[in-house]
Amino acid sequence: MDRGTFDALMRQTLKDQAEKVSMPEARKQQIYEAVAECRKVPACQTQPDGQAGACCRKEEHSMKKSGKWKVLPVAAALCILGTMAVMAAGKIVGYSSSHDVNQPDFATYADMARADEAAGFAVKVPEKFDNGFSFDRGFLIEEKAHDENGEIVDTFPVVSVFYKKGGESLTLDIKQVRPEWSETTTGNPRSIQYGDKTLVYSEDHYRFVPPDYQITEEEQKAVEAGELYVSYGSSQVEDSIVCFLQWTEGDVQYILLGDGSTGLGMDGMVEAGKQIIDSPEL
Amino acid sequence: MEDVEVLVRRMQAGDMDAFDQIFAMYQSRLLRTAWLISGNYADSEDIVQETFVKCYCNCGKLKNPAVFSAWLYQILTRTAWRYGRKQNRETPVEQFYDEDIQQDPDSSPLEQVLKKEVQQDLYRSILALDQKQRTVVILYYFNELSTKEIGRITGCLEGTVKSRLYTARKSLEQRLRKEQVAWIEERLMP
Repeated sequence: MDRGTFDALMRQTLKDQAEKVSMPEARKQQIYEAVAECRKVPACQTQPDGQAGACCRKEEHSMKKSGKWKVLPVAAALCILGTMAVMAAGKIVGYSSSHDVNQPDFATYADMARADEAAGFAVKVPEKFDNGFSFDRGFLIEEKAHDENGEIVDTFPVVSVFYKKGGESLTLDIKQVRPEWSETTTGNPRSIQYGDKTLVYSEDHYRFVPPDYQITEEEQKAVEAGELYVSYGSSQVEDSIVCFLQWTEGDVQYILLGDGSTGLGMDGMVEAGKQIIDSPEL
Repeated sequence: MEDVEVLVRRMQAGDMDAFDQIFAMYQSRLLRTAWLISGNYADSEDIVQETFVKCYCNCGKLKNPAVFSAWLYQILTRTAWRYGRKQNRETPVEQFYDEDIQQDPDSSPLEQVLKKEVQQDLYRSILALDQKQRTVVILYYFNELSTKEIGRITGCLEGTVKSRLYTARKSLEQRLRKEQVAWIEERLMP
């Protein structure tokens, strides 16, 4: 077959095949919503240093169809709050949430007095910690639970509080325990007893990577082993260790998290956790 | 419709209307390209969604809006490759090639049947190419991009693109010939 005939046949074959598909209106709407979600957070637009905004990283993360989900505390200061590592026994495999970090529901510590009423459960939120971190702002977030196909199967309120110390931040998430879901903490969990409470401390390794980053085989193995979380959207490859401390009080779950740059380590996180436990309810 | 470069600059400044126009300009072609590369319709919608979200969120990183189109296709192809590796699943060729080939009024019914058979065999062979060869073939024949542009999109040298095209053509021609022979033997020989 001569080249001209072959090329014409190729073009016609691919054209005929391609013309069979078109974008459904419902999917177009879904795409607009996904972009609008990304747009909600001002930090989403690329920052002066070329770094993509936090919500983009989260957006990437929330696209995962299966496996562990974890919304990340990010390197670039005030961003989306983190939630916890959750593996479900049922069909829930991950959580996600988003909000505008510049529009807190509780702008001052005094505003936190109405957090329990807004959330529907009592919360303990100290104004400051002995380690120097102090209240910065608070949010009432609607967290979404996803099944293995990425579909939202449940929503529930989470009280999320930012603490600041210079350029560093700590995040405290508080939500009601969902008894129908079981949880497994990754990141070499260690238990610490404090009175009748069991605090669980863990550390996870995150790698922030550019959108077109190709995961190596070694990284893929680490991801599958739960030793590494890859989050897309950064302008360059950056590694971060994220520390988690979690415990439950009655039917309320507390998750305190911060990245390695806080310098708190396990001891510092546990001390902060004890302070929360010893605080009165709002 | 405004010039793409102007739209890209407006989108970089956070203008959603500019994004809407860019979406309208590219969505159909991106979906079709994603479908041809991935070979899976459900994946192709996901790939396009991810591509547009990445496009909007990362457009500020694009220093030269003149290369927007290549940049967008680069996101699309890499996302499609990632889906391809992840899913690694085959879809029966019947999903891709049903009965609705456009009819050519100048051809006889027999010629139309023959043409359909040849196209069906050819498309099956395109799907059997490895992912990178298939991408080069689709960008060249369907998107009508130059080998230089394809090199930029796929992150390889122009020579590599030419080599992949050459190898793919040879492979397709050989397979097509075999398929045609098999078809003739099956249907026309006593």
